[in-house]
Amino acid sequence: METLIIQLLNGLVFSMLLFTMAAGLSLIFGQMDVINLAHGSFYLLGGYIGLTMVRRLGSFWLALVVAPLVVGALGLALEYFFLRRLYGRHRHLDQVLFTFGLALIAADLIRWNWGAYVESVPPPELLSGQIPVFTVQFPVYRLSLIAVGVTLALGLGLLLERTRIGAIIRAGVADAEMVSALGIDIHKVFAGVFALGVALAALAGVLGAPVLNLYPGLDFEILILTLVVVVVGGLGTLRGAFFGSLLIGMADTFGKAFLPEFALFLIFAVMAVVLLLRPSGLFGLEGT
Amino acid sequence: MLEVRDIHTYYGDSYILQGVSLRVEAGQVVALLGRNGAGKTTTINSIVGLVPPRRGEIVFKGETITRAPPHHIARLGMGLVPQGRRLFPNLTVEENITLAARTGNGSARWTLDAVYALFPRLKERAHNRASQLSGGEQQMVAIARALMTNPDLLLLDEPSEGLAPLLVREIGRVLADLKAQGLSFLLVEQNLHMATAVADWVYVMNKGQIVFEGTPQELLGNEEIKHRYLGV
Ligand SMILES: Nc1ncnc2c1ncn2[C@@H]1O[C@H](COP(=O)(O)OP(=O)(O)OP(=O)(O)O)[C@@H](O)[C@H]1O
Ligand SMILES: [Mg+2]
Repeated sequence: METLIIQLLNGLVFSMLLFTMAAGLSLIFGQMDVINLAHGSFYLLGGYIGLTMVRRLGSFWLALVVAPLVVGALGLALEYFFLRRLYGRHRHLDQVLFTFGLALIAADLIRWNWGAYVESVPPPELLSGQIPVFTVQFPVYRLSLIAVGVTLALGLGLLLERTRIGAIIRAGVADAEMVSALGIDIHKVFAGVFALGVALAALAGVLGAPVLNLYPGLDFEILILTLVVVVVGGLGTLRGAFFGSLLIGMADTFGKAFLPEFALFLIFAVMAVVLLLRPSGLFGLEGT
Repeated sequence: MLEVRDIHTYYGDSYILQGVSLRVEAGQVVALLGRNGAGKTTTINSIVGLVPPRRGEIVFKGETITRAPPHHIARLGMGLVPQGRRLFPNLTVEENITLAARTGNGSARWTLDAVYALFPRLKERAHNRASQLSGGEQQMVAIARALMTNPDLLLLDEPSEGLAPLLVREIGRVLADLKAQGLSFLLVEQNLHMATAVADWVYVMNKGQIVFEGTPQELLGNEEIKHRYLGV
């Protein structure tokens, strides 16, 4: 019973980290039709920048703000100088090659700068220790990640559903060309969405570091799980990203805890079942 | 207001517009007629910058816009009501209408209240998703959405397409209304009756070229053109 509760909580924690990743990946795909294979690299880069800031300045909170800003700015630059040249209906291969190449370059640069060790990051002082949840003791930091994830989901939901910029983003998902024909510079919207998406990835990297540690290769591990989440949830929908994250986060956590040899298999089995029942994912638009 | 000079437009390797010229004067309603595949939508898409022409020139309010990006052209005062409406299905009616609202260049006139007065039905449907509307209501949203950008020139691509006769008449009435208020527009149509009722000048297009221009009366009296190019 106790392990069950702990695994359940761990599953929620991991789900919320996945959601922070998947929300960005899904937004970028929905808006720009670009599958960002460097998304895991932005996660890892954010985590390592956070690590450096914690070591140099001793402030996790500062890391939490600065790493997403730095990585978001990098995203803006990458969009402006490279990705912008690759938009268009028949350029998927170019985009995939570009973002995958970016991921490979980032992996090497990260290894070169931060080394190939497993680095751990302590949670901030304020959130250290454990508190009782039901019948178990659970780390405060991990619990707060669940709260952060839910808050983020609500915040992004409000941004998309209740603001004008959110309406423009949703309109762009449906028909970007028409948005531009109405006088809105869709490339600015693309750039903003891309920066927001990669900043969220970096945020996940900092948030996740005390839980998952940082090491070369984590970028691709996270990327693959995030891709699975987005496919399971339905491409381009926030709700899909949220519930897809819950499903895959739980499957991964319970798989690793109870069927360690089959953990990865379990995830892909879940994905296969979902896609058999709903080919465009839990919340994907049918027929797209 | 708008002058299109000898434009040549391609989709990839297909040569679609083969030297199209037309003009719309301020306050004028100009109709562009032609059969399916004549190149009407391609002409519209060339003007609004979605499919820029390879050769030729387009001048709008004195500015050359031939290869300008679509959002820039729209901001100069061009409002598009595209073929097939192209509403944002997952947005509400009101979100669709207000998405690109701006005050335009002249004295701002169109507001949400004003377009609801023009299309009272849309007010009742304000919080429905656009995908839940009937074809006629969708066309009203498409027109309202363009009006809310307060354009100087409205481009309408087959607004009567797929609508029941009663609705076609209603849209026709709205267009006559807009014209009476001094708005200029370029109206692409296959509905000869509706187009000639409101237009001051008519172009007929076939296989990517203009094959006739004149007043609506001249067209209506020209059996050969009507027969050959409009299938009447
Ligand atoms: N995206 C495209 N790619 C390639 N060819 C196209 C494309 N769109 C249209 N065409 C071709 O260009 C020609 C002109 O098409 P266009 O849509 O401009 O005709 P139209 O006069 O608007 O017809 P309709 O009344 O059916 O809307 C047609 O032969 C069509 O097949
Ligand atoms: Mg057409």
